[in-house]
Amino acid sequence: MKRNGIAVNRRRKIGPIILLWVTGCLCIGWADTWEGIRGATGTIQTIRADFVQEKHLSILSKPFISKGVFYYQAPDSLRWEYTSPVRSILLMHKGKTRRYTDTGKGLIESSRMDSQGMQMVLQEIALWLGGHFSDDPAFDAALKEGRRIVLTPKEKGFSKMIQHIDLMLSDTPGIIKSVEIYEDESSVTRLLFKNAEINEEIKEAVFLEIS
Amino acid sequence: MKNCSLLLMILFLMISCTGSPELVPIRQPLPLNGDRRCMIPFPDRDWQFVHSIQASMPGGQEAVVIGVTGISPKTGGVACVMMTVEGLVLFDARYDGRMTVHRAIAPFDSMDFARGLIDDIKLMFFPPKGPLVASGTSEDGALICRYRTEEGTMVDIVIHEDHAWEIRQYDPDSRLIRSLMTDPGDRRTAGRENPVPGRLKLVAFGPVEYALTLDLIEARELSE
Repeated sequence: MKRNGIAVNRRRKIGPIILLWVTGCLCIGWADTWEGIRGATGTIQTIRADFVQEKHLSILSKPFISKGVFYYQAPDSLRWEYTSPVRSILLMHKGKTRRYTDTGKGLIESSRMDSQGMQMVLQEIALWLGGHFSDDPAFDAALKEGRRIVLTPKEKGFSKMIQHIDLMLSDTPGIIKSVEIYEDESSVTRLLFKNAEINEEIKEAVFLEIS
Repeated sequence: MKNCSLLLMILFLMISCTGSPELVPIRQPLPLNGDRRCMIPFPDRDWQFVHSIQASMPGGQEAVVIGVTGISPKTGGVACVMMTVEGLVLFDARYDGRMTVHRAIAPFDSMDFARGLIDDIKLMFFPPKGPLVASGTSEDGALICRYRTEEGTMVDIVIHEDHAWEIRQYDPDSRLIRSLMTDPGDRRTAGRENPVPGRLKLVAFGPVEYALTLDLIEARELSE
């Protein structure tokens, strides 16, 4: 009885370990090739995740923290929302991009010119979430060891604004763990994603309405 | 008829040029011994501030950016970074007697913009450079200390009875060119000799008019 009990306990302990091992084996390799990445992201229809943005500046004694949430629906719908310290919402849906910022008088839509700049940023994020790194028109992508993708601007003019972007892919196939944007040696933006929900239904209104 | 048109044009120009409020009269003069209360707006130690800045520009355009400002009252040094809410740095400059611009993305890439921004920061956080030329109280009982700066402008430090304060800068013709008002709000830093206001509102008058509302997100004393 006792031996049986030990056996059951062992099975209970070993079971999750085996499951983890098998899952690990399945995950190994998903980020080794562009095909693997595209295959893994191809199964993803929606993502909802919280994010923490750390702004590292040489002038700052500690990073400046912003928090928010994003929603993505394949192929190119995105809601990128900062909840603190300044509320700001970027919406991209069916080719239209809008940006709203809390000006102290509620959320106000930004000017068209401002939104055009953001359109490019949102399109980049949608490309990454769709796994289309190697098709990126603005960046050359290099796949590095440790599930890391390094993006460098194709245009010299653009590289004056952004030196390179490092994306760390998650253990979970198809998911980005963090993004680091290197503007220059004194300015880095780090985005860390957590609480990701994959392939849950997201209502269309999320990409259209600011409330 | 020609003379009439000329007269109308001169009259129009005169009205345009006298639009800004003039120097506020001091009703009850006080001795020129430099009332310490007039130094309330100015931190005497090194600080770093993070503000959300709402900018209202000509034509009704509005934008929100994040401003990081480091000040050193002892050296007169200023460090300033302006970035989007998403973290993209638009402008990064230092001033330590001379200006060094590390990064400036259009439309913030002119030297005039850099000088204007540093001048605005100095107006907000540093006492005027120049002698106290008058002090007293205004009609509404506020304390006024009036300085003549090295650049020929006049700067009034106005301390109201409720401890809210204003800084007004006038050009050599006594026309108001900058107005800075505080709203200490509920984010006043406790236990400090110089409270850090929760909100600052700067209005620039003149050929390029704009208004900046700075809401304090973080204040850090650097010598701590």
